[in-house]
Amino acid sequence: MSGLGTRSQPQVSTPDTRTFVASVGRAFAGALLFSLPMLMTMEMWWLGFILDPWRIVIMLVVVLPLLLGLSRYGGLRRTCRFRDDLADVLVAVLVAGFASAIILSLFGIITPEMRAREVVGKIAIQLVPASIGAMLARSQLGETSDAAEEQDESYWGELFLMAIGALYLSLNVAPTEEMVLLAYKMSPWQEVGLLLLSLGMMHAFVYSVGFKGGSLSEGRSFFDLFLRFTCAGYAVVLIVSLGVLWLFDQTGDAPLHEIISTTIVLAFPGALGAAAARVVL
Amino acid sequence: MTEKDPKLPEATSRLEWLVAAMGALLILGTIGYMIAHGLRHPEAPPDVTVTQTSGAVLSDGFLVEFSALNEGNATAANVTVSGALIQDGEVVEESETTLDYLPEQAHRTGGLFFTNDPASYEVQLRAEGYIAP
Repeated sequence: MSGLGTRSQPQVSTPDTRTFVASVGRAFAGALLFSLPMLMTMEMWWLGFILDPWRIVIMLVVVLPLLLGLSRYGGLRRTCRFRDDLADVLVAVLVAGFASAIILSLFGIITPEMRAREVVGKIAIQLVPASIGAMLARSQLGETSDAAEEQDESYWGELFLMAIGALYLSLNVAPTEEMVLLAYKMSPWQEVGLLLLSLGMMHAFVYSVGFKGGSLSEGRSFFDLFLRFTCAGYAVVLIVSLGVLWLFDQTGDAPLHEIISTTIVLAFPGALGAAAARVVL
Repeated sequence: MTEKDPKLPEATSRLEWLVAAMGALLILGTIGYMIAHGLRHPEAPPDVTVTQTSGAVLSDGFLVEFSALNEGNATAANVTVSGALIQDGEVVEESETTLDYLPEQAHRTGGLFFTNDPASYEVQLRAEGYIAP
């Protein structure tokens, strides 16, 4: 073990094969728990072959740093060194790939007769939600999150968690046609109403459920909280929503106002996920 | 400085590094494959050919099964496939169906029903059109 270098600073304990196998099993369960709705959504299968290969490349490249960030917060085990995080992320990706490939072939969505492009595309799309699910497994299915890890959550850490929470809920619905359809059906006033409701809902969560048991809200004014967490958080949610819509090619050649209204529609579940990140994740 | 203490973060075992290496292979392989595909297949319109794969006699009519192959580099949606039975240049019977999606570099199968026996005519199959997904 000494060869792998434990350069004095952060102390680590010796790895144990049994706990590793258990964490892989948990990651598998987490991947399924999170991505099953998407594995059973036909738009997700179609995206596997409709999407431009470059978009899939961007999606996979973007998801890696996201998973690294998640590893610190959740991940397969407690980690404090970059290389351990990296190992966890790669294990999660493999588990996610396996889980998606098995489920999709059982469903008959990928078959041996299909050309490689279609099979690779369909699995690649599912890699994103499934690996996020695998990384969240510990906080969702495993040990209760320990205080040591959560106490030093910085402001940016909170915003990152909000982004994950937003992804958590919005990935489920983002690929569906209903997003665009809702944007068509809603009048601008209804969209403004939805935006205000999203903001109000987020603030209620920030204020009452609170981050870290409400400690953040102590000694802070309404506007301080509202601007620093609710508004900033909603901005994060909007960016995540727009990003997801773009990756799934839901924006297409739509005019700007349609893109904005679709983003607001998707930001509604996103805002709920972001605000409840502490509870949900 | 390694010790057994459940409260400390764990180091990465050799087994985990092995699994992690396979994970790296998966994600880099997928990215590499997609990049290679993107480079080798610049955007080109759907290029659909329809061929007859088999036929059958049904309880009420006849069946011509086909395979539609899209060798272009774009997915076609709502692909209309039509078939005609031809005798001496005259169309005796026509039949058509629609494929929801025909991905790039992929094939889909389907069938057309006829009341006349296709075996005694020339069967002409073709894709009539599509919409961009």
